Amino acid sequence: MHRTSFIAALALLACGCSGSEPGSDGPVTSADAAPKDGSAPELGTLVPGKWIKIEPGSFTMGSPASELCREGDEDQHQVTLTRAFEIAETEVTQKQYGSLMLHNPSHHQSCGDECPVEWVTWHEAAAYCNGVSQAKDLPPCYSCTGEGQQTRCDGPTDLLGCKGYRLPTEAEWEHAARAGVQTPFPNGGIASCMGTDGNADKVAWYKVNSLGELHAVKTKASNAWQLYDMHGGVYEWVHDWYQTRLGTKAATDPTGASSGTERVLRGGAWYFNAEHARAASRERFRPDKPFNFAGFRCARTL
Amino acid sequence: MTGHRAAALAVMVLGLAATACSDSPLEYNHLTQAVETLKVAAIQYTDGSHTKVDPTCAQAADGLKDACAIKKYIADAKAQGAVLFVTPEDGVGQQYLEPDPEVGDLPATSTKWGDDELVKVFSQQALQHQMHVVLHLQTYSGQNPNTKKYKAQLAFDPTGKIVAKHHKFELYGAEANSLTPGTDVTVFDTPAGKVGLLICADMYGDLRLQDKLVNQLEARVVAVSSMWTVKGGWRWQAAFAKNWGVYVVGSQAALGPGVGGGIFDTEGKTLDLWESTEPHLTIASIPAP
Repeated sequence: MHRTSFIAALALLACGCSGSEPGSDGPVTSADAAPKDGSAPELGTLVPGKWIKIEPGSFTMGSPASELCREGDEDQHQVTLTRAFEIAETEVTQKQYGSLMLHNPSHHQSCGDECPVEWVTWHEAAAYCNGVSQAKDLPPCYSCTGEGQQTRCDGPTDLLGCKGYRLPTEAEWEHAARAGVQTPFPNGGIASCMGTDGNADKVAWYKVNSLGELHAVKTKASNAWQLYDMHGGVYEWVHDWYQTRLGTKAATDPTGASSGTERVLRGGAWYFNAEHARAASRERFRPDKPFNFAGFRCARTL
Repeated sequence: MTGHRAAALAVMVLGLAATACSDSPLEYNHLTQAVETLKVAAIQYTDGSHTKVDPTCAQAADGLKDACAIKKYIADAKAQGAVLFVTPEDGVGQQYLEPDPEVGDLPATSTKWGDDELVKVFSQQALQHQMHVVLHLQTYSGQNPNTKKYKAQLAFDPTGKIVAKHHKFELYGAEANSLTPGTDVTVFDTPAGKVGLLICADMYGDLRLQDKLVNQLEARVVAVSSMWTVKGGWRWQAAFAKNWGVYVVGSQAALGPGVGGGIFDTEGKTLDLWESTEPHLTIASIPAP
């Protein structure tokens, strides 16, 4: 049985711990509630996860022309995010997804509970974020119908105004991935587009070091804001429709194209070379297509 | 494997009968209604391994030593009932670059090709064994072998005719300095359904070309010639099969730690796998279309 029929019931399971306290010395973390007796959560409930608060701010999105492995859709431009948001510390794990959505679609199930969920469409990712919202007594951001990979979701008209959980915008995702640095990886530049890359090795599971397998989250170093696996692991669906050119004009709170045929994926994956794990690298595909190298993490406006 | 042999032999006999009459897809579809499974094969073979297969191949002419060894695998695959045989990326040592042939060419019976040219050798193998053979080799177009070079897959039908040609579009590392990338994907008809062609890094190249291969051109099987350079290369073949819901017939040449290839079903499950630098024939049954 899939998750949809549980959505209404989950609204009763509010844990009352949503959101993070504001802080001025970098990101603040908060955690979802765990069962008080330490037992495993029941199916249909939210498995605890940590959220990282990202303060409003400006950053340079995209890559400079000089960046090794750069692609043509990485226009560099200034972006200002006027609202604080929180974003999951890790990609959604198979345990988190399975507990809330009542099934685990992953191709790599033998990898284990702490491995990122994959084989989810953009729509399923949006529906999961809705489930988190309802588990935490917040309004769902997406309007969804159907179950499993037949799920279809439409985005809210005021994405950033929605108080519930949703997929991060492409700009939010890149801001969080960069964590205040301008290099392709949080620990520096990229030396090899397709071969072994020393910096990527420290923060990412990617083609050269993955052995063709998925790996548990939080087994590589975090960035400066304590976010894990923003590089490699699984590609992450973000909210935006893909647009080839981001443009060079400064933008405030961008949310992507108003319509399109492909949604954006960010961060690279175990299946791909280090070049795709760069902070500025972009991929895209139809939102109804699952891949065994694509997962997601949720975010919400604070 | 033994348990499948009787059925495979039946398929082989039917395949011989059908391919001797016609190579049209319609004929294949009619044929395969009568059988439940078909066998497909790929070699896991690194160039220069010919004496491990047959010491007498050391006596073959330069540029034909690997072909000597691979001929034996083709015969073995045919004996087991395979209708499709795939060779690895750069698994056949070349004496010299060969001109890029055209789809529709029939090298097996043409004097345009010399007997030492791989295009002719493998065209003759397809004809002799009445099966589809996918050959990977490097080719060039134009007058100068050093100007426009490709990593190519050529698909020969059971008459020896070239029915499809693919140029690697996702060039790996320094390949981009010397090779011209392909720009498209292609399929050809076989008793196992439409077979698509991909070379190594194409598996993680442009997702839209992969999508076209499967969802527009309707590839049911993808013949992958690879020389994967990292451990666990077969896992990418398996993942690709799952991602696109196709059978992958993967032929791997080992380069450094990049060992292993095989045949995978549409869920990415292993049908046959060989993870060693030693030469080996992988062969498996897949459902008839």
